[in-house]
Amino acid sequence: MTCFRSRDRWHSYVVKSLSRMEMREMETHLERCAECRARVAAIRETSGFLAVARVPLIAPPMIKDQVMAAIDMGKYRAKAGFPRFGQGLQHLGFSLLAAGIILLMVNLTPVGRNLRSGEVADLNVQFGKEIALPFTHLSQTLSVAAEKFGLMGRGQDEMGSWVPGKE
Amino acid sequence: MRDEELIQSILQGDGEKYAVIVDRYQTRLYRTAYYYAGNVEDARDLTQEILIKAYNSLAKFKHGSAFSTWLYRIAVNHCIDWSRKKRPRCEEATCLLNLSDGEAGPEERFLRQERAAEVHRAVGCLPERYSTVLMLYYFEEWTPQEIAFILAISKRTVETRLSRGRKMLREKIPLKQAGGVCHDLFSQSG
Repeated sequence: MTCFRSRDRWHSYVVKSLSRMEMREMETHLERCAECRARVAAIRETSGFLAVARVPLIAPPMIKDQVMAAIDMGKYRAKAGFPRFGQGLQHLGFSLLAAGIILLMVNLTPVGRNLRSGEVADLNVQFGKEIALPFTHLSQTLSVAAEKFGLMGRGQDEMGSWVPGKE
Repeated sequence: MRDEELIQSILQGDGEKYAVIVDRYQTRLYRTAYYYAGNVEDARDLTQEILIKAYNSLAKFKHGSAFSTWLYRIAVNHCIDWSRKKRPRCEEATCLLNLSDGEAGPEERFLRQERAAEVHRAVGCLPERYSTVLMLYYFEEWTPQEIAFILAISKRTVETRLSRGRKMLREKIPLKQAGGVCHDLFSQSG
C-alpha cells in the first residue's frame, strides 16, 4: 500500500454512501490510481462472494404475536396523560419565575400619566395591601395550625394580628 | 406511515401501532440474530427480546436520528451480550437452513450450503469487532455511516475494521471455487 488514500472511504464509495462531491473526487482519484482501483475491485469481489452466505430467512409469525402479548400497551398511554414529576417541577420553576417578573413589572410600571403624585402613592398603598392580604391570611392559618399541634405558643400583637410565640 | 410518526403515536399512547414496527423489522432482526445464534430457536428468542427491549426503551429514542439504526444498535448489543454468555466463541460447525432458491439442483444446493456454512464459520471465528462490521456491511447491507451509528464508533474506524476483517477472512478462506474457476476471491489488494 503506497497510496495515502488506500485506507480511505472505499467501502462507502462502493455502496455510494458519500456526498456527490466526495464521489466525484474519489472517481477522479480512481482514474489515475491503479492501487485504489484494485482495492475497490477487491471489495466488490468480496461482496459478491459473501452474498452466498446471506441467509434468506423469514421471521415466523409467532414472533409478532408473542411480542405484542408481552409488551405493556398502556406503558406510554399513562405517561402521555400526566407530565412526569421532573417535568412538573420544571414547569413550577418557570411559573414562579414568570410570576416574579410580572410582579416586578407591575411595581415598576406607572399606572397612568394623568395621576398626580399623591394619587400614585395612594394606589401603591392600596395595591400593596391587596398583595399582602393573602399572605397575611396564610400566615394566620399557619400560626393557628402550629398552635393546634402544639408546635409553638401563640399570641396577638398590638395590631391584633396573630403572632407566634406571644401569649 | 414513517417510523418516526409511528413512534410518536406510540409515545402518545397508541401502543397497538408497535405491531407495524414489528412487521417492518422482525425479518431483518431475525436474520441478524440468526448470524449470532446459528439456530432458529435462539434466533427467534433473541428477536423477541430485542423487540420487547426496544419497545420499553422507546422514550429514549431521539427524534432526528433514524429509528432503524437505533433499533439495530439495541439488536447488535443484545446479540453480542448473548453470544458472550451463551455461545462458544468459535463454533466447529454452523447448521444452516435451506439457503438456496428452488431452481438450483440438489447438488448445487448442497454445495452452496457448504460454502455458506464455511463463510459463516470463518466470519464467526474472527474477533467480534471485525465479524460484526463484516456482517453488517456484507450480509445486512448497512453503509459504513450507518454501521458507525449502530456501533457508536467513527466512520473511519468502520472502514479500518472492514479492511482488516477482510484481510483476516482472506487468511481463513484463501482459495474458493466459484463458477468452476479456481481463483483467489480475496485478491491481494487491500
